[in-house]
Amino acid sequence: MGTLKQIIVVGRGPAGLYLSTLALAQGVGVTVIADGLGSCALWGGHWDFVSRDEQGHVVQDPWRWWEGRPPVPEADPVPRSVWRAWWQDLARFWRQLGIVPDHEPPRTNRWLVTPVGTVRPVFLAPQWHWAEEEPRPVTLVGFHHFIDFPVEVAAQNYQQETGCRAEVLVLPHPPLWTPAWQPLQWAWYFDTDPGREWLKDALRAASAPASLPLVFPQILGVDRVDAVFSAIQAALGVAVGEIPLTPPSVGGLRVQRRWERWLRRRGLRLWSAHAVRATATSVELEDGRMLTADAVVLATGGILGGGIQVAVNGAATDPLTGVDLGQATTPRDLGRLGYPRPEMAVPVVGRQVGGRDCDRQGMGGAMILWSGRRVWRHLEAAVGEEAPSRHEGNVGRLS
Amino acid sequence: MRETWDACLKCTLCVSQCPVVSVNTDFPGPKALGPEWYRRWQASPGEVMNHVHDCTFCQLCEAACPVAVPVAHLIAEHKAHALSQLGWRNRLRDSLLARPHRVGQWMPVGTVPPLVRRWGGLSRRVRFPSRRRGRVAELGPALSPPRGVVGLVQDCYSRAYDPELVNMAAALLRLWGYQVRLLPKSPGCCGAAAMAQGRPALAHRLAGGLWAQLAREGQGCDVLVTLNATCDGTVRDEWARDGFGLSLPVRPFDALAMEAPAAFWERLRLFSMPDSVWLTHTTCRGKVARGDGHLLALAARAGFPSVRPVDAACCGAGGSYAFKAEHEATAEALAEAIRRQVAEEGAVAGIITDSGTCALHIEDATGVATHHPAYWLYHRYRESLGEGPANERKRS
Repeated sequence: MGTLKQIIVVGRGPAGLYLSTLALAQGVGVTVIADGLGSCALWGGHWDFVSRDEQGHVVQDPWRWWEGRPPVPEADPVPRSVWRAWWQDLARFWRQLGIVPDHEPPRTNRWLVTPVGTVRPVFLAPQWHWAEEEPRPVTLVGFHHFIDFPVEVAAQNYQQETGCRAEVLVLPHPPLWTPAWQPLQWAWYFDTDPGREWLKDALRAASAPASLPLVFPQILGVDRVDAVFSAIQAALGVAVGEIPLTPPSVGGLRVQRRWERWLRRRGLRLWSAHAVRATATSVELEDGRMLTADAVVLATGGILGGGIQVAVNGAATDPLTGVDLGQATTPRDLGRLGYPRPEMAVPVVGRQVGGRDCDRQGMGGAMILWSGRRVWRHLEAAVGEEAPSRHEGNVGRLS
Repeated sequence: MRETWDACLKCTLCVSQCPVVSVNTDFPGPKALGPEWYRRWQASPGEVMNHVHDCTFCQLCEAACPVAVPVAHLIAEHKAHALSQLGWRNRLRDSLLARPHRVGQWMPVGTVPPLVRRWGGLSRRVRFPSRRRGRVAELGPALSPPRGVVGLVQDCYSRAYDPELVNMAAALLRLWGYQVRLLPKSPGCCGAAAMAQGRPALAHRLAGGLWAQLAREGQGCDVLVTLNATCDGTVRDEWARDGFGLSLPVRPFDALAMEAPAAFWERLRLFSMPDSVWLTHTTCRGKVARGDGHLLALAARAGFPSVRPVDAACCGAGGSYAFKAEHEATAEALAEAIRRQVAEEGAVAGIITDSGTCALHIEDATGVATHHPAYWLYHRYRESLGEGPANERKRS
């Protein structure tokens, strides 16, 4: 008889959602405790494998780079076939959510255009991202008064960095536009039927260069982005893509909304609360309530999710466990801080695990995959045949 | 709370969660109306912004903030300085709506003539609540040894317009082994409505009054149980921060329902329901104060087939928000997402939500019967006893 029927995941960022998915897919009930929105909307929605080596050079083939390299010093290297199975599984799942176009993970890193027209390596990217194996000529589309994407500068930089032509197309702003609009407001507008129609008409009127792909700032809708893409493609017959902007990222928000929708439909319970203490089987909330389950997993070490407390002298602590995480002298140091695994009684998942500099090397996705899989493998051993039904929902209880 | 009023990092996560921003292109959003306005106000008091009164006070912005800026409360302060924007009629209207316990006492509502709607700044299209007071039968002897005394907190809406629901919840609690005491004895308000109308000082006063009532009348109770998600969030979550802490635990009805005796669930599960889709709607304030998925778990345990959560963050009701003429379009646009989901799901048999105004608004938008979980559990149990069709709804 299985002993793992309910788990608590503390944290609502990508690592928390990933671990929750692994558990729910096996019929294990999940309660997520989060004190805020999580870090999903602060990131573009793409998962990196490894983008740069320790010296900062671009890594073209992340599969090869990881060969013989352990994710953290005390662990074994992950065989290529295992990495492949993990990525394939994630891609297949994301495809179900309509996030990626293909269930196969990429063979190499691809090139993602940034808001200033430079390019950076990216691995598993949502279908909306303009991410290509080789840079190619494009038309960059801007809008009047849209300051988050300086299209002329971006075109210059793109041509300079890639040697490929970048045409510029500047569309007017919609009639309902006000100077207070931020990218999200543009995106919500394009979610509406009038917004989509206006965009089609504006593109037709602007006579975009034929045959070149149209690359927009990432504002082409939130929940109905696929309809916006289809409408443009049908109207103009060209490929369409987007460039993720600075946070809050519309791409990350799209991913979070779709992912959480899937989880909620499978009985995920979300507790809006601040956790102050965790043990292997319980979490104490700030208001004194205690939540119990068969296992607790911490996924709190994201970008802003409250996972790391940095004192004025730079001393970093995980406020949930009180574990000393080292010394942070610059904001960049936060990426190097990590939990002293594996001895901790409460398993931890997330990009911060192990002290890798995920920001500098672009390997956050890989670290989430590895840490999530490692913790889940440990927990999975306790999943029996009598796991509760997905909708049972009897996750945790108050005492 | 004041130490975080000026802590905004400008990350804009609050805007990403704002339901009004998603449908109203004129609305500047919570960051501009809350923390950014507050900084300007500190430097140079006097400036207020247009559209500040379009905020529903759902508080989803606050819940999203990584540095605990009370964004919605700052907007409430902003509203308080911008009351003159409303004109005297709407000010008078909002002054009434800020005291829902008095509205419930004095106004049975129901049919509101078009002239009154126009004069009073009320929506011409929305349905106003009517009093439901059907007879509620007891459900039989308790299924459990005595479990203690519950102080069942009647929110303004249920007390005035849905006493039937209060009686159903009480009948269920007695069935589960609790003694039930209805609180407060005389109408009182938690202050949430006043805060939403931009009257923080009044909200504080009303909260203090109800707090004193509950503290006094709740003596001898083991737990206070709330029926309405907004009151629950305010009483349990906000009051403690505002210095109105209660010595009794405060728990929402569905949390107690999850602890109902095993015999209750066994009885419900003896009778399977016809295959149909049921939706659960967690209110905005419910999401903020508690999270999501609790109603779905309850419905699944009760044997409702094919239970799915409503995807929309906010239904548009926003307490009394949808009753106001100037919010008609926003409230309808927000409800559109639920209407679309109902159409996509196919035959939706019912919607479960723990707010009277949300239920009213959703029912109007979708045409699907929408009620509190206590209503659905009560009827389901009556049917399992072979006593259905239970209590027909009667409107006064």
